[in-house]
Amino acid sequence: MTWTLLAVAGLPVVAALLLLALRRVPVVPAALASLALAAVAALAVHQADAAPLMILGRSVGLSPLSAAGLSYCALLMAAATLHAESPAVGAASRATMLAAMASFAAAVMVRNLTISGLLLAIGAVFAVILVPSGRADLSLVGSRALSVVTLAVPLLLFAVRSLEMPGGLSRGGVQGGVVAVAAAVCLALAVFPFHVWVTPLYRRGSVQAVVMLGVVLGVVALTYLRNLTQALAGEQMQQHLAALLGYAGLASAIYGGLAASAQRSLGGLLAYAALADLGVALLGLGSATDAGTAAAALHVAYRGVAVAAGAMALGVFRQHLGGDDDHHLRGAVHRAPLAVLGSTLAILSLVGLPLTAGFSTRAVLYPLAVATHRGWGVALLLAGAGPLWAAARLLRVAYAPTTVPPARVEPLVSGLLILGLGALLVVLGLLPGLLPLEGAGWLLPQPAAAALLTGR
Amino acid sequence: MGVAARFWELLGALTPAQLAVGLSVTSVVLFLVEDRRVALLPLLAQYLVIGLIIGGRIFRPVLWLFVGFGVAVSLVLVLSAGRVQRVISASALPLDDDAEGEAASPDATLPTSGPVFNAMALILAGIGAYGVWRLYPMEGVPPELNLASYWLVANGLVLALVAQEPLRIGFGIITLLNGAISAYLLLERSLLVFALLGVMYGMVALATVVCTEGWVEAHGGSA
Repeated sequence: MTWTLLAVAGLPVVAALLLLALRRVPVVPAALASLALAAVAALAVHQADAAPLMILGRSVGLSPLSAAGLSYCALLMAAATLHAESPAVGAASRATMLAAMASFAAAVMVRNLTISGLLLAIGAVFAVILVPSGRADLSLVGSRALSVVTLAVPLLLFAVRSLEMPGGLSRGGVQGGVVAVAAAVCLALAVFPFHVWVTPLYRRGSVQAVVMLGVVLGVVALTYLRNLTQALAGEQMQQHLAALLGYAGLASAIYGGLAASAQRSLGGLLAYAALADLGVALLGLGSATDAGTAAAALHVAYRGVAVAAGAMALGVFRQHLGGDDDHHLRGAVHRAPLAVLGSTLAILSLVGLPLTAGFSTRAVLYPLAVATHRGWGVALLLAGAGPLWAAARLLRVAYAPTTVPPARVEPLVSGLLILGLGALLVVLGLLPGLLPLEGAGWLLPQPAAAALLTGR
Repeated sequence: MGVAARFWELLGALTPAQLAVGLSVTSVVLFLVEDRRVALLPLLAQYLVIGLIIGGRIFRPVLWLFVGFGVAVSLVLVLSAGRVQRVISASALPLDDDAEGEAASPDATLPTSGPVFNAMALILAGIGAYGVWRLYPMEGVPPELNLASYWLVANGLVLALVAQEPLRIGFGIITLLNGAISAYLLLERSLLVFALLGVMYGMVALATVVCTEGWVEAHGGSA
């Protein structure tokens, strides 16, 4: 039905307005925001592959993969919203988060690539506002994030225009458009070397900001990339784009892995391990094979769950233990057992240890990297040891016995959420076939999809 | 004919080359002026010139929409500009976020890059813009306006990179956006795209204000 599809983007807006009206009522803002996001997730799944609507001459609809991506993002944000955080996260922040989700939902649904790109950018700016909200010390980080997001806007606009024109927009031709698309996506994903603003965000940012900018923005940007490649880029262009993404992924995986090895705080480890993990996923997309793109899509999803669990644990440690470095984490398992156990599982998945979800997809992606270039595989394996080393060092401290009488300090809801997300990663690692995902068509030409996606 | 009418007639008669020069001059002034409140004037002038460029080629009343965007953005930024200026004038400031909470020392003041550094950065931006323009001239955009738009993008990017506080970074971001939009709207004439770009301007201004107010608060000013 028409209203159901429109509700996917409209519901967060209504919830944001309600939330602002009820901001003084305790408990209501978090519950209302989580409920609205859960409803968006359910509606998106319900509307997957429904007949598209025509609004202002543009086609609006959800493909199954877009619906899955949107639903996943909404559920992760619902969990992040339920997480009991410091009072600094007020109704205004939650309303901003809902507005960002509404923009992202609209970006995923609108099939005109220019309008979809602009909606994506508007959602990203809403998400950036979450960075300094209630955290005055992160104002410069927010400004830098805004610079990066805004820089992606002209790149996307001109890339779409260039790919739509038969000979391209300028002398660089369509190749220039492909480079611009790759650059815009790399900016949105914050891959190396555009990651500089993300590290302080992981170290000190709110859970909502980390999940929104570190996970949701990336998933929406990759969904946009998929729609764009299916609609506009020919096979040669897709190979060019895949190669660019592959190189960006390799650089991120190596740099993230090496930088992670020096980290002595959970925030630092999470930032660089997440960067390295994203690099591995981009390598899979860069392989431009069915197996590679399917594994990469799953890897991005697993990474998001691990980052969300890690960010929530960070919030618990900072708020209740006073910090997230090896000094504050000493014996943390006695005071925040659920958060420590959940974050342990999440980090083990992020670094790719066996029996976790992160390992199951790496088992597909590493051989693909070796098949592309043997040196790449060796470099990945060596760099992969960095996060593992830092994680082992932090976990040893967190599980150390303590002479101080332990007193549990973690909030139960947050602890259970973190443990639940960590356990999910283990279940998915033990049963890797639980989430089959069609990867075909990510970077492969589908002429039939082209007409549908351009909305013309 | 009244003075206002003559003024608008004069603006309407400007050639693309003259408009490109006007656009470039506004961006240079924005870059070099240190007082944040005064810097809003060249920013406003940028919107006027872009309105003239787009309006002259698409539909004259578009000029007023751009002037409206400019006025709205300037009004959103003006209060924050005053606060930032007061904080900067009042005392020595911590260098960056990492210095938060530390006592401000004479060595840890907000670095004002200085006119020589700014001039060198501008020259670098100019060389970059010229190089890109020679390599990738856009079809469908008059060459001089194309150069001016590349110049604005390069200028805005450099300003955002070298600035040390959120408001000047915001000026850089808006300049970058102005440069891109001044060329893009000559190619894409959809009303919906135009409206969404207006929303984008508003959101960028709002995000700049949120970051700036946080910065003022963190540096001891009254947010």
